[in-house]
Amino acid sequence: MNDSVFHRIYDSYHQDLFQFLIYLVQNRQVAEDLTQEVYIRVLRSYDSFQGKSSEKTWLFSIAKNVAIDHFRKQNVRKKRTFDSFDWEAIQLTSTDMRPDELVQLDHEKKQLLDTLNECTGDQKMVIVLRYFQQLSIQETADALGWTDSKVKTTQHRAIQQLKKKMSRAREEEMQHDERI
Amino acid sequence: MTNEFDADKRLEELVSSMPIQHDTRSKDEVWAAIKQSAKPPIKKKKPWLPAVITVAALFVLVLFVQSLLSTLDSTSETTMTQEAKMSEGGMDEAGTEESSMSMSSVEESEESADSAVATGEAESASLQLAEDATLVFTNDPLLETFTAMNFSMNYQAIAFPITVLIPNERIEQDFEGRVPTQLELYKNYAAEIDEEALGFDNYHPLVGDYEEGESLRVTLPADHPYDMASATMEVYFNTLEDVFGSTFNQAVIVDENSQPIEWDQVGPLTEPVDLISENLAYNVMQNAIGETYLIPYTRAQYATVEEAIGQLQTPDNTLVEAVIPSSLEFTVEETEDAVSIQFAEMLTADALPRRDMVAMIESLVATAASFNKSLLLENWDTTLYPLPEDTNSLIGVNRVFLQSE
Repeated sequence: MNDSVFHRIYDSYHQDLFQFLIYLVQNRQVAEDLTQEVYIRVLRSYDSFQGKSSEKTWLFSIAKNVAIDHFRKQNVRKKRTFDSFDWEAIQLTSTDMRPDELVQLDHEKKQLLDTLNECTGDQKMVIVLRYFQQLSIQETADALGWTDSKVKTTQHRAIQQLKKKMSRAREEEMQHDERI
Repeated sequence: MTNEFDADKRLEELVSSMPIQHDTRSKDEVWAAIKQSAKPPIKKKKPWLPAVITVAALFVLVLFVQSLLSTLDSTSETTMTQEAKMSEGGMDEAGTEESSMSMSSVEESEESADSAVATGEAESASLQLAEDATLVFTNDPLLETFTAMNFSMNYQAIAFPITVLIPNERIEQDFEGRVPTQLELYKNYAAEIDEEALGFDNYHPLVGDYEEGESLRVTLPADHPYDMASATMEVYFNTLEDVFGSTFNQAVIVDENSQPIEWDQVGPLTEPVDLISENLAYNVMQNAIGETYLIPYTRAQYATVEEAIGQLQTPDNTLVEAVIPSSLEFTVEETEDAVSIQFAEMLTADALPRRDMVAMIESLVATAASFNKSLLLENWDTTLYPLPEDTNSLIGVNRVFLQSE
């Protein structure tokens, strides 16, 4: 294992990778395990990194694959079947308890995370990469292996989806409050 | 319109204001955890495995043993009948799989347990056992309806040997009744194999022209990507080995002027490249979607089959998984054309999870075959895997099915 590569990548990208994973899986322990898995894959394949994309987006693309593997395994465990796993079309919902930091968020942000779990996998990835991680359209496209236009379309749909679902959630809350 | 715009803007502000999350571990802690994770895997118990599945697996085992006791004599002749029956089961399954391209491995033992419990019949269990085989042999009943094409897929700069089974009806249609060569099969079907769907990197079809001769003649364009780094070179040559090694002993690689190609950091390739891969140890490795495949990583050649089998229990590197558990004791005897493995204790289904059992037996077969030897297993439950009489008739590992059109 090349520890000099590890040190450099850790110093430059570790917290970004961790944040990406914890927002996707919403579980600190799982995010820590997946971060380690990202490093293992990175260190194993570092020599073959061809520099077609930036190092940062290459790392995020590996982190994305690691996260999808996690959700795929979770899906298999839940259903005990090996049906094809279309991560873009299905929801990438973590069934675990949220870490304290996320539980302590204000009501609106918690609602956002809940609603994000109801979006499809491609929408969730785009929101996390574009807004939580502040990646550009191009960087997001590189990390997900998409075209720029696909990122833009998915982002637009994701925002519309979030808006719709959050509005509905608010209406339900108001109706609930009125009944009380 | 304004409200709509404001709502969008407000939502975008909200999603942009999520707090930063920090990993609270120190760098040293993370590095220590990585080193720990990268150690050779110890077969993990699955804490998530529901107890009911374990009970179900035992139930199936009891049913299966009862069935065997009532139907099987202890003679080898009867055992062969059982093996033949299981092979037929594999063929039946293949018929139902023609419409999709899939790795025909069962990854978790509980799946087969579930399936068998659902039917409640021991025979279903025996059929299930044949379905999760991934090796292809000369006399495989599958080859009555499929043609095997040697192939290779790569993941993270490592080439995995693959055997693609192509429906005969497609070949008859595409080649108008003619029997195509392996190179023709490759040229015809490589482009439609969806490597990414199977969890591999998109690599095929190969760049350049490939022609048949005494050796494989490869003409590469000046901007070919295969000599960019040592890793890309290794993957390319290993791919040539996997795809064309069964047909050609060597490949001659030239540039577009028919001159020995100038290979970056190596110089002109004046000598043909050997495509023969022998005396290897087949371990297992996972791809991007966590499926396990047999792979002779690092393609190191071993002096004896015993040494190679030792690698299956204690691999030299941490990238592959050990396929023989360290707790399993056995002796190895080698003759001119066979390698015999005698387990110290009777090898039964409860010794290993089903997936690991299949991987172990298949890696032993593939390793022995790479030494041009048959594998003879002794002191084992022969119903665990439908081994043919001559395992050296192995055509390929890691079978996948190409879809019908």
